[in-house]
Amino acid sequence: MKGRKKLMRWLAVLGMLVPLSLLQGCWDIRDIDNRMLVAVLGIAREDDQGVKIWVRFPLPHSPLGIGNGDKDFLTASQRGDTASDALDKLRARMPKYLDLSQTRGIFVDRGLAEEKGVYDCLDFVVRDRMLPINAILALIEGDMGQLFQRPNPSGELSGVYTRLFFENYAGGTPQKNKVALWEVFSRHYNPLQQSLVPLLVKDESFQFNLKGNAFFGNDKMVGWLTPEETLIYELVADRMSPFEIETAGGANVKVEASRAQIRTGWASGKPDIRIRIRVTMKLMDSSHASPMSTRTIEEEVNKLLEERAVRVFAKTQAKGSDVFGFGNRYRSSLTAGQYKEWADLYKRASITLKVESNMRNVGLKLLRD
Amino acid sequence: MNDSKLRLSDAQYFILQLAVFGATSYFLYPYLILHTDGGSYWMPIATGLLAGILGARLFSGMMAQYPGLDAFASVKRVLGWPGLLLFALPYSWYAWRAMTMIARAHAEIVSMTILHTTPLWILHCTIPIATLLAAGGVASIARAAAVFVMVGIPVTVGITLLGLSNLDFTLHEPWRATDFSFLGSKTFYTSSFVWVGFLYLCSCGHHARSPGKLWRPYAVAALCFFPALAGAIYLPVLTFGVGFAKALTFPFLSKLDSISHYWLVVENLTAVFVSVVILLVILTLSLLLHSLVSALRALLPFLPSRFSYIAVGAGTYVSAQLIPSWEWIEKGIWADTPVRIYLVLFPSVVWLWSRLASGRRQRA
Amino acid sequence: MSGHRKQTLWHALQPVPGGDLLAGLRGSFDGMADFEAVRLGEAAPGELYLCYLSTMVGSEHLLFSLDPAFGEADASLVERYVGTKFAEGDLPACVEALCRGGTVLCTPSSASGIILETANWQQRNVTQPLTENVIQGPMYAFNESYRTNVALMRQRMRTPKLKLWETTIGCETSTRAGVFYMQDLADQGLVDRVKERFARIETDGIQDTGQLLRLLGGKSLLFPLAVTTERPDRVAGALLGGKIAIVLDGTPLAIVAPGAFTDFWEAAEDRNLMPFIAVFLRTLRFIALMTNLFLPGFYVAITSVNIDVNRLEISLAAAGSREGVPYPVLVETLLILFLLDCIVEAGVRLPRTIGATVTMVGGVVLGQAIIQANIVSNLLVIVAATTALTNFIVVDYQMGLVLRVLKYFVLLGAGVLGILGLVLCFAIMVIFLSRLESFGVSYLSPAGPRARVYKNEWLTRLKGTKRSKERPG
Repeated sequence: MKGRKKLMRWLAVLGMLVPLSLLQGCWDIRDIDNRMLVAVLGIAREDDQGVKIWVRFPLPHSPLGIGNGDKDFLTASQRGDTASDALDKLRARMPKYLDLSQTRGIFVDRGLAEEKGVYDCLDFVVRDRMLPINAILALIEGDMGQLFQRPNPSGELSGVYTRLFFENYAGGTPQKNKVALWEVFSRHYNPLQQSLVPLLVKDESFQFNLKGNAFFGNDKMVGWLTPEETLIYELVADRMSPFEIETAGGANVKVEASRAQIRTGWASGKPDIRIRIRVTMKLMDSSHASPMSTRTIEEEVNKLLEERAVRVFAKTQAKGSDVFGFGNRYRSSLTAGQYKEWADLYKRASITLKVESNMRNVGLKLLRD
Repeated sequence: MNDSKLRLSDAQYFILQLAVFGATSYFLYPYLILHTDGGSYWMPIATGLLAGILGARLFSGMMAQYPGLDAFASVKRVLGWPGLLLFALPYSWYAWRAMTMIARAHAEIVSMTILHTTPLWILHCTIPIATLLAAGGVASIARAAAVFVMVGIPVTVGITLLGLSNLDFTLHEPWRATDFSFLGSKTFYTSSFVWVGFLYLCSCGHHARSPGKLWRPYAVAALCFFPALAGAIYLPVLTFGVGFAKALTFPFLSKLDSISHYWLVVENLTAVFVSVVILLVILTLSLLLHSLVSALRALLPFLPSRFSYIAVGAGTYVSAQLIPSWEWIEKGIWADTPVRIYLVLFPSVVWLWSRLASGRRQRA
Repeated sequence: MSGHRKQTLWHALQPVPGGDLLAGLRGSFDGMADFEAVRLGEAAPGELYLCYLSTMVGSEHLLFSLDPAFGEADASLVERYVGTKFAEGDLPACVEALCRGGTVLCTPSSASGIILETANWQQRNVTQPLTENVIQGPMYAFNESYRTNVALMRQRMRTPKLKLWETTIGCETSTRAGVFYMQDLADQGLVDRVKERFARIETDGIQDTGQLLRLLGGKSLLFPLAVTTERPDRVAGALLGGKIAIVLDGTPLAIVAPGAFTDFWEAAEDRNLMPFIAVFLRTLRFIALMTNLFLPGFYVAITSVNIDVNRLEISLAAAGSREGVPYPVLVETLLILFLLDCIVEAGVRLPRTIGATVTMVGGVVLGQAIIQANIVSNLLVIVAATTALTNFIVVDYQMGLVLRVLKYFVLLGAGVLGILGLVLCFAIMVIFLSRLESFGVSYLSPAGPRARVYKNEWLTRLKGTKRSKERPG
């Protein structure tokens, strides 16, 4: 009985202490209405030294209708020496806590990517874990401010859906090569592969338009592939989404599946890369002017893709930017010290690509009539 | 309940062992293995696994000599007081340091990943909780273990399975290493702290029906946990590539950060993972705490049990609080490697000694 | 009444020097208005008196005491007695018997009297269970009468193996308690342990099995250590599983011991349903348990600490609904949970007719008003309502109360450490449970090592086979 009384007294003391510790109220407790959640972060070049960051906050729809008028987002920008410095300065101006933990997309200005590289301005992300590393990364050509200040014409909760532009389950297509932040980071540490990051411009009726995909060399943007050329990347990297329209000799086909086989080896001191791609497709629209047989369409597709591949490889080889990750396949035949030289090796590599296409069906209307 | 009558089944030892693996293998192990020389990481993992099973075999051999007695009592029977000192003192050192490191490391992980500004003295609350559990005795630990493992392991395994997305198998280093160069690296030996997880048995191994077979649950748990352990190392490597994985403090947690699926309700898998692993950490801490108290009470039999639990708990809390930095944890775990190896090899001394003694007795 | 027996009984009434039973009874029952000592008349041993408490005895037992036609009493009078049994007793026994509703036949100068069982106890009829409704299963329940309850059990289990051990508790109230167990099925150690616990009880009186449960020992301050049920079928099922049942006079709730945490999640009708459905229902209840415990905490965690665990869309919705709420999330949640508990409690305590009104006023009017006044957010009202709803799914009333308390504990944990706090609270609760033992059996069984006595009842039921397994130790 005595023990229980004692215990009760202890419990009472504890019961008084717990609320006391709560009164301190600091640490990591920040109520959600006291945070401003960043949906999209943009980093642009300001002048020679500094950067300018843009942030877009979606505004919550409050039953009170406090403060937001008819706009459902808020845009802010801040100049700083580095991105994290600019964020710090932005914090000083904000009425609420700047919360980057749910950022969906990060936009980097094309000029910045060409001059300084992407990794440098985003190093703080990995270290501090203030920003999710699965956010989408894209390069922006043109005025970033205009992009950030314009309401999203497709009318959703603005900014939140930036990510949907790339996602397979929404607006993603193979030409929009979805790249997460961590992919760029891992390529930075991997000399055997370079990143291919989408390059966006402003669109008239929607938020963005895809201009192409930028490829990198030594962490800096060195060139870009057109959306059509990106398809070669998707085919080689086996990242093909099943819907895709290709025109060959006036006929439209939908590439439904593809399978790439890559063989790597050495030939006379040069990397020798042979790629064979099997493509399964479906006829969407045949040419009325010159009807073709299935066989011809297949051959046309093969020719078209192979020619395009030659262009793409030439383009990337010229800059020594192995976006396809062929270098990873040479890990066992190179020593760790030689990894750095892969860019040069890639420039000299002989790459052959062979496409074998197979028309699986011709749709609901027969081809022969 | 009366501890001496308690019987633990092999399945319960398996569960305890699983919890120990779960608690020890996520914080430093991936980092250590990634920094071994050689590059084919399965080799140090498999070597550690085999060495661990061997060590467990030795250890259960020692426990089998006097079934029904804990390791300290049976060492005392065979080698007398000097032997006990030679075993219990290093053991206490090991247990104390291991507890301190594990608790602090997890507090630090939490601090680095989810609760950036919460002070460490709050995050070290795992130690008082573990003390509460340990003071309940082995029976209570085993019961709580069943629940914790039932919650902790499926979540851990499920999250590891989610990690199978975005793998690129061309990123791996050569599977077949030409040499055993990892044997020369410091981090390989440091990583032994995962494999000596059976050492807690010295205070609760005697509850088994046949203590000589205690290595079996260890081996089964190690083999079952092997995929998860390999996943903790290979998933980041196959996603990020070796370079980036090596540059990260917690490659596996960063890998979890990179997972993104439309259908995944939970966005921040790391927070869930780190929180749930705390359950296993509490369990492991309480096992170590219990064995440390047993060691102390074997040395100083007059200590009252409740007092020793409170004292050990408070001591661990204070020492965890005193660790200055993450780097210190890495160094501390490396510095304890000789003690761990000594403790694993000690049972063979006991075994040899008792063999000699019985031989002498037969001759006499 | 055989002639010989009659003789020995009359012998009890023989005057003894110093025998003053009547005076003793009058002294003991001094100041009790309903005590009556009626002089019947003269008989061979002397003047015959009939003592009883007029409120307790049934008049049909003793026709003669009310019949004025008999001027003179003699031995034949007692033969009209139609009660069940009678016995001889000294003063303390007579006092106890009178309190029980018996009647004492005595002479002024005898030392002992004849105790006639004439009690006519007030009791409810056997009705439908009030707290454990089932849709499929037997529809009757225990009532407050010990004898009725024992009879109900005997009717369900017609076997001599069903043993009943009896004792009385309380030095003032002398309440009868019985322990049922199945011979060979129940662990003898458990039975002995319970008997020994009963012997150790020191109390003035006892009103309910809930009280008895505490007196029987166990260190728990929060969790009920055994299931209490008013359903004979549930008791019978548990007895067949090797458990024991304790029936107490004056309460319809019987204790089924030992109790494990999982037992509280078993509804009475689970055994009557198909296995898959039973498993589904139990899973449902388990999820409800988790929701009830952790949902308010989870809400606090994801709106104030770990906001990146959920989707940005949800965060925005939460932020929107919290816009203008003056209090921190934790305070807001505490506030509405407190309010909700008040409404529930008011609904339980009030008479049924008013109860509906209270629910209406509390739930609908107050709920609507509190949102419009912007004191709590919409989202939180959903959370609080879900929490309350899931609490009603909890089968056992005692356990439901425990959960109602524990959700505040979890809430505080989550308010400080977010998701980690939830997990730590869970750990602490499991640790407390792991240290509990109910009548020598681990409270967390079947998880972990078994304590002294244990029947593998849980598994048995799932498999639908009868398998009783003796545990060593």
